Amino acid sequence: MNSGFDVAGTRLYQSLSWLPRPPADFVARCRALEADPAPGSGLQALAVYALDENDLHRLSALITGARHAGKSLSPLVPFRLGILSNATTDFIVPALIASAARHGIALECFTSAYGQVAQAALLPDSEINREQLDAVLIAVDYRGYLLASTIGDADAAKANLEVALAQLQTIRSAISVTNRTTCIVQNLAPPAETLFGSLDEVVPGTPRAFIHELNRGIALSVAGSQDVLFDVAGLAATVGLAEWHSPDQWNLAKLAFSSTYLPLYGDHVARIIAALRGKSRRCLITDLDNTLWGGVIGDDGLEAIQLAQGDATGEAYLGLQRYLLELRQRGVVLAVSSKNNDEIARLPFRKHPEMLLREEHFAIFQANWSDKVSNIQAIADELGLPLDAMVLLDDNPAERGLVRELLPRVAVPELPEDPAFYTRVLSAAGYFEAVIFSREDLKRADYYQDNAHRVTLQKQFADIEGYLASLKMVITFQPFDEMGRPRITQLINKSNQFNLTTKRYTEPEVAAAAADPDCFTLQVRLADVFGDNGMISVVICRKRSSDLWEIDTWLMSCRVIGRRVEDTVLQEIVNHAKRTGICKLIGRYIPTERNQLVAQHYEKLGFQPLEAVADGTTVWELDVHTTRIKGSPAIVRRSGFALTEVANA
Amino acid sequence: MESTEVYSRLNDLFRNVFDNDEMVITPELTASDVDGWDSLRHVRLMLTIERAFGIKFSAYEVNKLRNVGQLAKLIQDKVGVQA
Repeated sequence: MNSGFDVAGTRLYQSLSWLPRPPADFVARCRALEADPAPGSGLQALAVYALDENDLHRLSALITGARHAGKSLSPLVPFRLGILSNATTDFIVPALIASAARHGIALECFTSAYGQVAQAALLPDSEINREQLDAVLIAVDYRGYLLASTIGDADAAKANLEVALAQLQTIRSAISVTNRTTCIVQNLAPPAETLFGSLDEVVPGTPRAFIHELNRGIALSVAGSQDVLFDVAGLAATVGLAEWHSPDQWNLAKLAFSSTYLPLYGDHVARIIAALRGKSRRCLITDLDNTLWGGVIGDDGLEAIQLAQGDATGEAYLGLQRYLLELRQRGVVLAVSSKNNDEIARLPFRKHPEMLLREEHFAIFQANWSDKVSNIQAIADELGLPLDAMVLLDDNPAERGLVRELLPRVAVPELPEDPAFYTRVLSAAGYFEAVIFSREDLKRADYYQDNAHRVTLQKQFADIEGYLASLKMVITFQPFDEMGRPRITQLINKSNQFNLTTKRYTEPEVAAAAADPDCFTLQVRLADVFGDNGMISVVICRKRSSDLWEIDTWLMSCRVIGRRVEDTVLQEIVNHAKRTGICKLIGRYIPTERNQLVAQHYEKLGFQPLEAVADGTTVWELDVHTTRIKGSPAIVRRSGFALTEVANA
Repeated sequence: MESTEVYSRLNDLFRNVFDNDEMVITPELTASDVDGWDSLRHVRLMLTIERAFGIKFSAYEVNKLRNVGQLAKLIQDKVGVQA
């Protein structure tokens, strides 16, 4: 699954891999927006994809065109940004404008002439100082600080540093006095080239040593001022200096950094602008199974979930838990949304010795079998936070797709297969960018705390059907065969939650059922636009009389709950039953500690109650000729059945 | 890489950079024939081509180019060498 997702090395940062890939009709959707009288929401919807330089250019032209045509860009919030740079700004401006739309900002940029940083800042009638700006980005790189060589001379190096900081301070003061505005001050990415080698860090006045000192000075001068820092040095270090700086592109067109990183740079500036406008996200909602731990707590149990020191997979999940705890400490509110039984879902938080996260770290804890859209809406309502303050972390691509489709204001990062990269991806996405950190932030998460309480869902989300259709599900039915036998046996012995009878069978018993003419068996596979989910359901029906099947085993993977796959499975059973002269199906629900989820399974599918036994077992029947069951919107494929005409039964 | 494949991929890149779905490139095409083919667009075009084909042009090579035919030939040489 998720084959297009690449987080190796710098790829994560080059391609903004946490964002979904642009759709095939991206250009067509851009064209369609040209005619839209109020394109604001449409522009933001197109900006949330992982756009490359040319996509950003196209989107930026659309935004600028709409503004010139006098159209409203609402709900995007206007922001006027001045840019002072010693490099060419022609390439960064489109990247900034389009990336800002991703963060809900309608950005307008005003630039100084090439290389005219000081003039633009200091002359009262420069364009930068004439416009009413909301902020000015000071994007001067190491080539913009031309200072006399001071190699080996500590005093001269110190004097140089003071001159450089004073120059920068003069520019900042001029802007704040004439413009009454905030400066976003870039620090300096050191060049990749060294003079001595390692000794550059030791000898005063080398470019490396000078830039480190200068960056420290900039950070100290920003703290407590009205200006904010843009840590370009940190960004360049993250991807690597040799990746960041491109000497040929500097020579060719005075690009301050490699154009490969224009999308990354644009997104980072946009985050800071969004943070200045109070639009940073504030709450992280996390899934549980295969997100906070490896495996499925309801099926694998407390002992078998992967969450141990010394186990590489377990440590990956612990790494994410540690990061979430740190986020919480700095003021991000945590919540849970998981398809699970509440009691079972809370078990690892209460009983697992290696869990770092505990119930008291979560403001709200939603573990139920309703769709995530309703649950996320309920969490937002309860916390009194807007949906665009929310982030959902979920390993399941279909859940991610559903939330993106129906709640587009919630940020939902793509996640790689390997949980070792979860933390890096979440951090790279920069949802919680802040421009200030205060004592109150340390208490914020506590303020929202209410012992992981549960919210009752007011309403179920209605339009799930449309989303199901967009998944383009393909359900494949086969009788048991030798090839599928190991997986069938594994599912029969492992599934606990969506399992009507929890009967366990050995591999020879599974083989015997397949060979028994009085047994009808099904193995079910499911694929969708996100990939192949593999075998997701197993059914065994046993003939009890000439016209009656009892459903001996029916189980399903919890991963695909909420897609009405069970309806299609029943339809398939009914078709085969009719073909072989069966009139009635008997279903049995045998309760266990884990399978409460399916207590109403047969009732929901239209079975009639037949009997209730003292141990809680209920027995149900269905007349195959009168049932009106309608399958989920999926393409059905079959193979391996004796009579293929069952397709039309 | 075959010349026709280079032209076909190159044509897609031109359409993307110039935001023009109807654009058809020929070997004789030059910057002065195309609306909006200014120096900035030229840089973006070269960088886009470098990324798409996984190659690098030197400033000397870029300055020498006179038309699309020479550009396609240069790409073909580089892809051939690096393949």
